[in-house]
Amino acid sequence: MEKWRISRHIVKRSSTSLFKSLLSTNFEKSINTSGSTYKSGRNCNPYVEHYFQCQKRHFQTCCHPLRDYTGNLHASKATNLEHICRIQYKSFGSVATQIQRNPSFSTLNSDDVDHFKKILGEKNVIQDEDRLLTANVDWMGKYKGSSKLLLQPRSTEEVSQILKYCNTRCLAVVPQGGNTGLVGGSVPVFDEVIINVGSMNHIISFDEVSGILVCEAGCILENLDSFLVNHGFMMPLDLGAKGSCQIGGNVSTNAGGLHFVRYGSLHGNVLGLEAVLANGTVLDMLGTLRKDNTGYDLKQLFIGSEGSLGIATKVSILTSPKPSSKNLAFLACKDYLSCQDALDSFTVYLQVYMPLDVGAKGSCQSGEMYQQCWRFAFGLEAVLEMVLCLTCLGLCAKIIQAMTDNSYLSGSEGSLDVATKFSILTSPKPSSKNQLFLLVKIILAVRFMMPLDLGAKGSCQIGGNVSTNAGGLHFVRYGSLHGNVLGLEAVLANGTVLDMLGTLRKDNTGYDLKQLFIGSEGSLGIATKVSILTSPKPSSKNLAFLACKDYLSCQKLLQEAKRKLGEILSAFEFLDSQSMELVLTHLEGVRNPLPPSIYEFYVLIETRGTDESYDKEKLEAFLLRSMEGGLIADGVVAQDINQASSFWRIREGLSEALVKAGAVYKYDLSLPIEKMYSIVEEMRLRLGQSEKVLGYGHLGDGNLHLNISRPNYDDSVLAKIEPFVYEWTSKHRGSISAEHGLGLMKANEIHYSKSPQTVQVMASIKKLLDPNGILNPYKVLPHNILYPEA
Amino acid sequence: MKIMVAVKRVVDYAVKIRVKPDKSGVETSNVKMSMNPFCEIALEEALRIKEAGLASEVIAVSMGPNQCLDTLRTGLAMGADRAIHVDAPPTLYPLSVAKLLKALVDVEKPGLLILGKQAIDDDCNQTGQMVAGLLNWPQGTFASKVVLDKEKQVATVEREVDGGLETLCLDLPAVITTDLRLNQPRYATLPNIMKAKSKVIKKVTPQELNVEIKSDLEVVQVTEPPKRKAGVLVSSVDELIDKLRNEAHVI
Repeated sequence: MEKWRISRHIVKRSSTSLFKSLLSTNFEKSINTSGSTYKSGRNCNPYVEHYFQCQKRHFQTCCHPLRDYTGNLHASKATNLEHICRIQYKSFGSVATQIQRNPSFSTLNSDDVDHFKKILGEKNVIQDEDRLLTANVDWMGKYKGSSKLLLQPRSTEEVSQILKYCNTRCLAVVPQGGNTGLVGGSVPVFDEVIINVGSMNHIISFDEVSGILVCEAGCILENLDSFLVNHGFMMPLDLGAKGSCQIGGNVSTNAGGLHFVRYGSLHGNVLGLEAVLANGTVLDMLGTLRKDNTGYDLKQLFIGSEGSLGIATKVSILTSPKPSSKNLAFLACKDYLSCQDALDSFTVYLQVYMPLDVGAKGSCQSGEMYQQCWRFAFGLEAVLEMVLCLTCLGLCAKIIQAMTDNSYLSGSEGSLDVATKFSILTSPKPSSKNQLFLLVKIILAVRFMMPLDLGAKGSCQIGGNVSTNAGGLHFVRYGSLHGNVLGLEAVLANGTVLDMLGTLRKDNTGYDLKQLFIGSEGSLGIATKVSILTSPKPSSKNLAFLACKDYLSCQKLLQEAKRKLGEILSAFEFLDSQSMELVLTHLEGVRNPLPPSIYEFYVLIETRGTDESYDKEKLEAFLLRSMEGGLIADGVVAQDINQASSFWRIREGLSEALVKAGAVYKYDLSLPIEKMYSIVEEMRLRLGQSEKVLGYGHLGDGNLHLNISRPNYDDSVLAKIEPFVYEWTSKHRGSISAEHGLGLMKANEIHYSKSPQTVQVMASIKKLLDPNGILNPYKVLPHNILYPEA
Repeated sequence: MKIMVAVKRVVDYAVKIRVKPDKSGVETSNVKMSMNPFCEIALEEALRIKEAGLASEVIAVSMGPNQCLDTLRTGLAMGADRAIHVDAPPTLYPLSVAKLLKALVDVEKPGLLILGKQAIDDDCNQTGQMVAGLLNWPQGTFASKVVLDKEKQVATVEREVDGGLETLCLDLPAVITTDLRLNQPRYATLPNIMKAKSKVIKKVTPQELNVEIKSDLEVVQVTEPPKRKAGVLVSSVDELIDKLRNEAHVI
């Protein structure tokens, strides 16, 4: 993506003027300043020309944001490697003059090399000059180090041993993947030992139901993609360098790429990570769950940390079903200004993202054009995502003001209410200003919607949602808050205000600290302001309530729905017969949509899109095919909003029905989808016929709500449930808290879902940010780990 | 015996109604449209009568532009046997609708015409009464219970009136308009949606029915109801009494 930005930059000016400016400033400056890498006095003209050609290629890629981009890039990479010696001439901007080698680092000696040979074997310890040269120079030829050693570990264990040794010897290392980075992050500066994970290139597992891929860090992006194609899936990221970049590097640099606008950032798509810390400790955070709210989400720190916190060795990533239809438009704009104005929507289609800068739009000179663009984009069913910063009243008001000014957004029916919402905003009711429902109202007034929706939306507040990383009903479509929260302001225990309130869709500067606070349940700081990515409000919604004869059919139905409904699938919920019976008995006014019999399983499928009749046709066609295929036993499709609400009432009313039924033991588990229902069945066997064991939840996310309902609380029953349920979940690599968090209830159970090393690191972070432990004590982390001496 | 049911496409019951900025009417573009809830009840009643073996066919009728086809498909998916779409302009007033219905009744000759008591968009509550007048048929409006006697060719209709229930006995053919408590409409099941795909929707024009669409009514303006003022908290009983006496003038 960096490259893409560069090339966009070039379009902004003319290519000649860019060339001139580079020649006059950077180039000359680099010749003057980069003494250490500027080697001899050859005629520099050919290389200037060579550079110009390279830039021309960049320029071309900008005009062709399509597949041949890859081709160009590879070609230029090959050229670069070919002329690797000459490349040094254009090493402008070298940092070597500014940085001094840290004298506390040791220098490599032959004992070290022997030790590495013992760990890795002869052929994986590389001292060959030619091969080292490739690894020492980045692919732009801009940065060059002088490492004498390249190590190629084949397993996490080897990486761990290498680091353990380097740490005790104080040898600096640089982790390297495909070495396609554009900021000199993947090459040594001086004589650091290069650890190249390219030999760790095995695919560990792939789950066709959930689309979750687990692989080693050295897997090349394109290889993963072609592996997935055979299974009808695709990687959620795609970038020009895919032929040589490796997934470990992508994750470590939080690579964006061409489809960012549709599939979002790796913070949302990476589900698990295994990383080796500097001292050799292996941090196993390799979850394969869509939802896991047990403790701090440590892996987020490593995403985008550019190898400075640890070396990523294994990655678990959420892949998307390969779309069966793609369309692409290639457009011309007369000047950059009109691109900027119009591309907000056009770029969506070109799969490039530009944040909507509402404040700066001013009065709408090109309102007409905007309107056309919006129609164009909506008409093509492109997924539109826009940054709306809802940080404080003033800003909300500003946004709405801007929206009102620019009638293209509010539209005829939206504009009427804007004035009303505006008055809500400015009315002095500070206590309710950040309630989710109010946000929803504000956003609806400007035709956007919150990416999360949960039962408690009438009273829950956005700060709490973020602090607990709330999931909810449309998680399957809009994903986790780790992907949707763009910025956060938090106050630490000592009163320091941490301003991480970015409103950028992409920001790869340093560790993504806000991720630590998302889901930390108030134990690291208090969230005070949030900036959140909202989605355009869908203009069409459809809902089907279906019956399935067994769990396997539900699973297959999910798989098919993801594939056939694609981007319009917005919810996939399920409940079993016991749940249905409970709702029918205890909730007034609820009727069985599929009388007279009770089926084993019920599934709710919701779609959201932009074209009512098209979406409905698509859903109906899918349902009828599934019915013919035997996956669905019976079903009904809501014909109006009232019917849809009554179907949702069955699923959403379950918690209420359980409370009315008496005592309830509640568990919120994340499990691999194929094993998800087995815990319900085993629990039934374990507790016998007399107890009511209910299973329902967000099947689309592998999130089961396991509930045991009985007339009264009984310790002997509880003893049969716990710790069995935690042990079972742990055994199947599930999470004991998918979306509810740990709180007080499960603080001491964290070890069922997180490795001791991971919990230890969490405790260090807690101590770093809150040394006296005053924030939300006794919760999230086990007390004995935080205060072992107490 | 055939039963004819009129179904209207209206703004969905759950959608918040917005008035167009030029005050010419209610905003309908980009708004979820569904079958009028009273029409759903009318169709459900017709289907139940047919399922009880008292009718041979249920015909759903809708009038307006092509989007009405969606509403008719919903009707077919609920179980109507066939449908008629009268291709007419979007604004039709009750008298025109009644005339069109009369013309269709003359063609199809149903034994019973069931309508919703009113549409939730314009709340006219006139069409059923008008068409009964035009046909010179007996009418049972606001029905909360309908019992059909096939042999005697009569319909017994219970209607909700102020202070209780009124029971009417109507000779067939007759017009019945439905109230909320008559029944609970069914959902469109997948097998029925599948069957509906092969059912026929016939298209006719007002010209073919020899009906001239005109209205003596003219809409002057549509406005939103006035906004409710925010309440105030009073600090004492005395203040409350003062406000009631001097501001509200109620005591």
